[in-house]
Amino acid sequence: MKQINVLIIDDCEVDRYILKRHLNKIGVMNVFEKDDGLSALQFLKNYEENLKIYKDKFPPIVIFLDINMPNIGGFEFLEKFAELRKTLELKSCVIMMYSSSDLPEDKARASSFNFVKDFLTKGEIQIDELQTKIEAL
Amino acid sequence: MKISSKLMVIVALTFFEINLTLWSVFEVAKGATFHQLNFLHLKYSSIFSNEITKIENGSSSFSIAQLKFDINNIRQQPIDCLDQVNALDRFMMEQIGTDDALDICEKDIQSADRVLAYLDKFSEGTGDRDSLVQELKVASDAFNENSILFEKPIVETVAFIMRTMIPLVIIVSFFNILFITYMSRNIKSSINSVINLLSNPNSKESLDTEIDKNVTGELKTLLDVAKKRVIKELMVKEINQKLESLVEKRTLNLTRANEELAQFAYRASHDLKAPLTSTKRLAQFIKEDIKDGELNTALNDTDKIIAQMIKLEQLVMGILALTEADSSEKELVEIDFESILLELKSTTSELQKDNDCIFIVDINVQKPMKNEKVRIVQILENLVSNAIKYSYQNHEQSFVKISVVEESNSYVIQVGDNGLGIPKSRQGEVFQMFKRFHPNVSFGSGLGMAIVKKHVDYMGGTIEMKSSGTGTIFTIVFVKESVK
Repeated sequence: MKQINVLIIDDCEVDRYILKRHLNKIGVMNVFEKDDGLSALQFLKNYEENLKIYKDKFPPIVIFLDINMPNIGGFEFLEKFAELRKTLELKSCVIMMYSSSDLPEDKARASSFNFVKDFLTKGEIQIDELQTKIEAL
Repeated sequence: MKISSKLMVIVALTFFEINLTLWSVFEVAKGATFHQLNFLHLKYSSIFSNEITKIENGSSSFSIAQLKFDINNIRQQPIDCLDQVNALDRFMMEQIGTDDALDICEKDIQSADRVLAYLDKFSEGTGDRDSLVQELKVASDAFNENSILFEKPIVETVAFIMRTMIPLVIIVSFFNILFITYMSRNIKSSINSVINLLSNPNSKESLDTEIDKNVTGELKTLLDVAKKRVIKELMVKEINQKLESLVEKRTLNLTRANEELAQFAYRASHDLKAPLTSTKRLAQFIKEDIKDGELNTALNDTDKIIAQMIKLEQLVMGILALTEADSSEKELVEIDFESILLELKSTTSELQKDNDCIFIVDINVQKPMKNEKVRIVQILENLVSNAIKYSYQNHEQSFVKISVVEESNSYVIQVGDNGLGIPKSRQGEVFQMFKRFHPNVSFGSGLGMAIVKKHVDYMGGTIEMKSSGTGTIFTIVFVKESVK
């Protein structure tokens, strides 16, 4: 399994734990965790500093993003992230939505951003499926 | 004067005019008949004279029966004449001095009767031929003279009728035309004044007063009936409009309730499902950890499962409380805020200790508020526990301050804190179901504030919130009259 850097943005600690454990299981070890969109954006904005601290573990290549979160939710994060991509080296970073919502309107809204590559529903994703999706990147 | 009375006058005048005209025509026609009868009288008298001449000239073959037949023919015209004269004719002829025509008729009949009586005697053998001829000649002369005298009074009578009746008919007709014109204008102007009154009402007085002042008779009755009808129609229309708007309002409420219910069902099932799926995953992890001998990790995962189950329990309890807030009808009692808050202070003592938060109470109530205790307790429990759970740890001292104040017409309950506050952009969602603003600080069902709002609404109160980075204040007002 190739080493890729991952950022999980989810306010639910258990959901972050479960996803992280799945990722570790398939060999993805560089996993950052943030509990809302605001702290995740701040983390990405500290680009240069984080490069120095984390070296090749930063920036993340895949971001797993929840929708319902305090402060800055998933969709607001997508809009701000689109702006951020223009100034920072995040072109190769893609987003996989990771939400318990399976509403078609949520899926359609997320798909309107070209850097959103997938829409995973919590509780339904299997470890093999996750591995396939990560390897396909 | 009523319109119907005006029309009756016109009818009566026209009836009189027609009768006068017809009477004049009949009278003139009667005059012509009299002339015709006089002409017949002359004709039969001439025949009678010829018969007498024949007897005088010595004709032996004369017939008494023929003579009687001729005399009876002559006698018939004055009889017919008198038959046609009625009391009115007689009165009129007496007044204009032409009633001698009637005397002539009677004299003519008497002459005929006398000669007929002589002929009867002659038939019986009394009297000679010369006396008979003499008697017959006297009668014939009388008949001729009567015919001549009769013509003049008849002509005068007809002339009088022509002279008087024709101008009278013309005058009556002219008067009738004038009267009809006047009446029709009068009726038209009455109707026009009503139309003007209805089109341009005088703003100084009400329409009813103006109608009472200016309109009478059938038009007034018509307006009264029309008014009643219009009022009835308007009432029906108004009732229909009210019903329509009521149906519309109810439909809108039902639609909203349905949408709310659908939203509730989606969110409830979603929030109930989340801890269950997490637990399923965690249980799988525990199995793997036990197989791999990672017992500490397995223990950690078990703690996580317990936390998930507590969340699930809280959520189910919240949903139950929300359902109860909608349906229960509880007894109204005098609310003892002091004892309620004392108990609340005791039940939240652990939470206060964990969050280093103090409890400040200020009650100023003279006459106790009467309300449903269970609802008041749930409202205070939710607001106070939120204030403690979401306190700001970097403060010198976190607090929750509860005040209950009786004002002149209301009771005001305030729960304030110096905690984290609610982000400005999300303050509109505070009373919505399944909304959590600080999930990383403390877990809640996301239903507490929805329950509070439902209780306050149910009791007819209002709730407002002010929140900033330095704290939050909820203000609940129960107006005294509206307290259920």
